[in-house]
Amino acid sequence: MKKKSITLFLFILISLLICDRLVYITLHGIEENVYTGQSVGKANQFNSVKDSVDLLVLGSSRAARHVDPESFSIPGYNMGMDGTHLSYATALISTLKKEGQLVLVHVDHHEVYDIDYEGDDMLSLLNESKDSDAMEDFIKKYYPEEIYLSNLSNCYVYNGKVLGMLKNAFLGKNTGSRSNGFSPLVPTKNQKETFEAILEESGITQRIDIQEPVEVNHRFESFVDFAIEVAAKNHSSLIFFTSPSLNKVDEEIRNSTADFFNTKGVQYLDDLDFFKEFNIDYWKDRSHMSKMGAELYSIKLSKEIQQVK
Amino acid sequence: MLFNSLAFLLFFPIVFILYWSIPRKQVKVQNLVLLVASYVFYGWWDWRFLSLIAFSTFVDFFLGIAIAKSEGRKSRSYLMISIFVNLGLLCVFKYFNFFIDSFLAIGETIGYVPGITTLNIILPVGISFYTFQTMSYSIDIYRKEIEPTKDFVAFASFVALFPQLVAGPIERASNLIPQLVGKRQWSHKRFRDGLFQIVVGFFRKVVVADSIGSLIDGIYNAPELHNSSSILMAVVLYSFQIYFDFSGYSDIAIGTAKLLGFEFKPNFNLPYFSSSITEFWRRWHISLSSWLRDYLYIPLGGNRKGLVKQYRNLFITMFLGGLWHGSSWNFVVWGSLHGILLALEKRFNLIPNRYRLFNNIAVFLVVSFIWIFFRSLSFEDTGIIMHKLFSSDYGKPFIGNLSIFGTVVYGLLLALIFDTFLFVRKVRLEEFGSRMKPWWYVAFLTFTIINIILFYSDANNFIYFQF
Repeated sequence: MKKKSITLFLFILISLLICDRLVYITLHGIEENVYTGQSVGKANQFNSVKDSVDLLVLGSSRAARHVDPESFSIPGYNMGMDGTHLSYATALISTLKKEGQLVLVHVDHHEVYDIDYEGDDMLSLLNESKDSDAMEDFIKKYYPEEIYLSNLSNCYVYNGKVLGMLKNAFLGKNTGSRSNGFSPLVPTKNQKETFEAILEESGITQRIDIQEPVEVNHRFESFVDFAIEVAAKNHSSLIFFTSPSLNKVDEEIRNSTADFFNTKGVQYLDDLDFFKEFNIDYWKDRSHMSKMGAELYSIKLSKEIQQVK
Repeated sequence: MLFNSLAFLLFFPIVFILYWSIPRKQVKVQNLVLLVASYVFYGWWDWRFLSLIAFSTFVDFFLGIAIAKSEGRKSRSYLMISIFVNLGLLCVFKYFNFFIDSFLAIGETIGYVPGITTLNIILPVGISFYTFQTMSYSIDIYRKEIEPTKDFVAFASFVALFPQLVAGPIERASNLIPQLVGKRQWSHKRFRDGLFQIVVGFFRKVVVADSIGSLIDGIYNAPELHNSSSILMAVVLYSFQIYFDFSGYSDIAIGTAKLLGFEFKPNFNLPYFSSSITEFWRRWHISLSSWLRDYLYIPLGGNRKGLVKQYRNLFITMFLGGLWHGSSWNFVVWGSLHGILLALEKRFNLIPNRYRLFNNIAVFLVVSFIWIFFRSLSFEDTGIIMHKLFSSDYGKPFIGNLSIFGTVVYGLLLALIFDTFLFVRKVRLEEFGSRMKPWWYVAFLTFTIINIILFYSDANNFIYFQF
């Protein structure tokens, strides 16, 4: 191999390394000041309150849309995030330090038995791993290659986040006030009509089939174990819950889900059928309640937890 | 193994170092390394299908020698066996269920229910590419255009060479086998060109094409839920998706081959800058269109037997070209429409001999329109898309995830500016890297790689793997 080619290749590598670090430093500086938007802003809000509040709600979009921390008598923050599941929630739990918190983790029945679930939703927190050793250790346990890659190229942690982050940094309305993370859904007239039409065509509830054989996903189980471990270490109360939905599973699945959490020695609240009668005003779609439904449910959940505790 | 995978990121440097550390005189050892690497590359997906490649390699290697040694009918018989075996593999693994389904559908319409069913057959990745490659080897020997090689490892490497194994370009034996038999020389120019093309290819594939895919897949998969503006956006963007997806993959393949000391033929040459459909096919998937021209269109008579037969030949070639792309009538209609347009262009003399902007726009719109057949999941969906395109249901288009939409706009803009630059400056991407000043070269690669890291999409939906 010619010396010329090796020299050129080394120049490219050095140039890449320098630019990568410079771009990372710039983006990291911008990121630190973003408090709006889903991908980065909400995580920053979480980081700023996680060690001061007494209640944390974690989970998917159903957690974010269904639980209002204001309904609880203690200061809290809802860190539910669209498109994420238990691995994302557990990655956040790994960073908790405050003792005596109440941590509510939203799960759905089908998630417990989803054999295809690998937990890669935690990777959207890769940028957080640069600032948190606990987060880095957690991700490394399941996806070591991602941590190696992010050490090789620091910019890698911002893949898919840059444009949203820049938009929120320079065009976002950064009022300085922090929300409690609860983002309820208020359906428009059109959305309500469309939803009504869908329900008329295919019925109010829909059955979710669980893939045979019905077995608990091993990764899911390991995330549950990890969350229990952190909660025990922090002397926190950990409660898993399922919020109301029009997507139903068999009674058998519900019972075995409850059994699963019971055997782990952790509280589980199954509120799938919280609403005894259907009222369209309580729903945005089959899996998400409207603001009205969510507020009713939050009050109920708060009371239920007081009883459990 | 996919080019855009972590496995390839580790695999290629190992192969590269091992391959170039072998002394230059040891060509056979170098080829052996290539062969093993190629089989690992393919077996990463499903090792069971390596037996098909090995079978095809054995058959064509020995038949090639037999064709060259014999004359007349005997030679022709050996050629027929080669064609029969290769097309047979394609028919079984790619078209069996398609033929059965079509037969059942016809039976149903006339009230006849035959007692046959489809089989659960997995389509081996790249089978359409390597069968065409080995078939052309036998045909070229029969035509006495090339001599058969007696070096089995070189031939097996020709069939399975990993940069082009799963999605082409479909390399000709006349180009590649002499390179495999001869000594490989390290060339700094080739290194610069290769690295440049790989990086550009990655940008095209994982930033532009995959992001577009993430944006429009939802629209194409459920067109009935979207308004006309969203459909129009999806139709136009799909033209770019398939172009940047396939040309990007080809760029990575050609660039990788350059780093190993091989020169592949170009596979794309800025096809959306064409002033006619005829020109489009000279610039799009060149290795396939030239294969179809040399082994199908010309043997059918080409343009030598009168105008009517020329139109017929164009239609048959494109009809079969469509079928090559996939075992679905959608692809057949797509290919046939191109065949009809090629014939119409010839009939009405619509092919300008220089670039014309108006023609360029018209060709892009027509090609984009015909891609609908290629991309739609069914004829029913095609009908919905066509209906919506010509209805007045235009409103706010579906944007989806703002971040993905932003990436599409940004990536597409950069890619189109680059392509326009190449077109205006009349430069081929294959040789652009070595023409740049070193500082510009380093800066360009750094900028592109950082952009790939920041904006790549992990959608991993390489369109041409299914063919």
